[in-house]
Amino acid sequence: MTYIILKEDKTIKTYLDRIDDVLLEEGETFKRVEDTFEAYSERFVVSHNGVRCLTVNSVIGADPVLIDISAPGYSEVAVTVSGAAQVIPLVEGKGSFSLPTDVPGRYCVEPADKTLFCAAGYGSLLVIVE
Amino acid sequence: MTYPLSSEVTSGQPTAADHYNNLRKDALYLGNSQADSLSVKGFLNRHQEHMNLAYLSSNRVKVTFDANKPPTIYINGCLLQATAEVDLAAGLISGDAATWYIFAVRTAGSTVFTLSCNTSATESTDQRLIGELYWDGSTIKKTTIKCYFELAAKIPPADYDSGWFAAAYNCTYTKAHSIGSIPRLVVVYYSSSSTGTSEWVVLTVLQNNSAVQSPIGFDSSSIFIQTGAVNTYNAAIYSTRVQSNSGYYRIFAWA
Repeated sequence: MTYIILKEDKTIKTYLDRIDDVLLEEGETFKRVEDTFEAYSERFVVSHNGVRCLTVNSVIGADPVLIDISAPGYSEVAVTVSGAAQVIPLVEGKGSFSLPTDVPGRYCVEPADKTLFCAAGYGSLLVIVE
Repeated sequence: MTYPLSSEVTSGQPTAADHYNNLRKDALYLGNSQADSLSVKGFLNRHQEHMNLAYLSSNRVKVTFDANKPPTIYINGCLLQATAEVDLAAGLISGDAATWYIFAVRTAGSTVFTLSCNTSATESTDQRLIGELYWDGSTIKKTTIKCYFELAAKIPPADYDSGWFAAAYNCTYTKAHSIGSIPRLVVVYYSSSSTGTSEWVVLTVLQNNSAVQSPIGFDSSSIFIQTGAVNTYNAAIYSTRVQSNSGYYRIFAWA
């Protein structure tokens, strides 16, 4: 089983497989799900070229950065790219979109609804274009 | 002290009481008087070497085997030594969540030992208590597997192990280490894999906005990790090996 820690605003802060050592912050709560820790971590995954959690560094004018999204059981999922939301259609739980590199910047791809999906772990990816 | 006290006898030579007694003293006390030395049996009574417990499956553990350092243990007067890995049988650990104790077991007619387990730590005849683990009702918690005979020359198992947990930007993770005092050593590892199958990198600094800062603190009850505030920087780890705004942490602490 896996324990989900929720922030005061009910967004998911983290998940772990033991709760006895966790000291909650003010307003935080937790719930338990039957998924294993590994299974829960696969609920929402952002990756690039099959790589998760590692910052992608690109240069201005390079090929767009292909971002892969995985959310098994969903036909679409909303993500934000540094706050701007977009809906990604999914086929068999998988989809992708391209992040242009014509403008320098630092872009974080993460779930738009953090009460549903967790940005921690595999749930977000930083892309730096400079 | 002369050792051995006894000497060889020739064929047909009568064996005097002194000779027999010296021989006995050699065998039992290495030539010493009973007042000065434990018997060999008494000395070896709690002896073991190279014993180590490891995870085998969700409800099984094993004593690992190295042919150059075979697991060896003295049980109920018998010198026993494994000739291969020793596995705890499946199905013995079950039921409600509990601490289970692992025993090495002697069987008459065998010079190797087997394993058994019980929720009581009490040894019975032909058993030696060698370790423990925590069963959560469905699986063995790997980080709780403990052999009581870990070599002192090795870094001992951490007194606190958080297991892997997911990390993101702008969070404070507070963990109770239960050590009871300020830990002498705290190490936080980062992995881009939820199971730690990718490279482990020691967390020393991360980016808090554009500033590079150390995120770890601890006191006599808790360990704190405070990730960077903004998700457009490497708020989870900033290393020449790995840079990321999310991933997985695991904390080890020693008393």
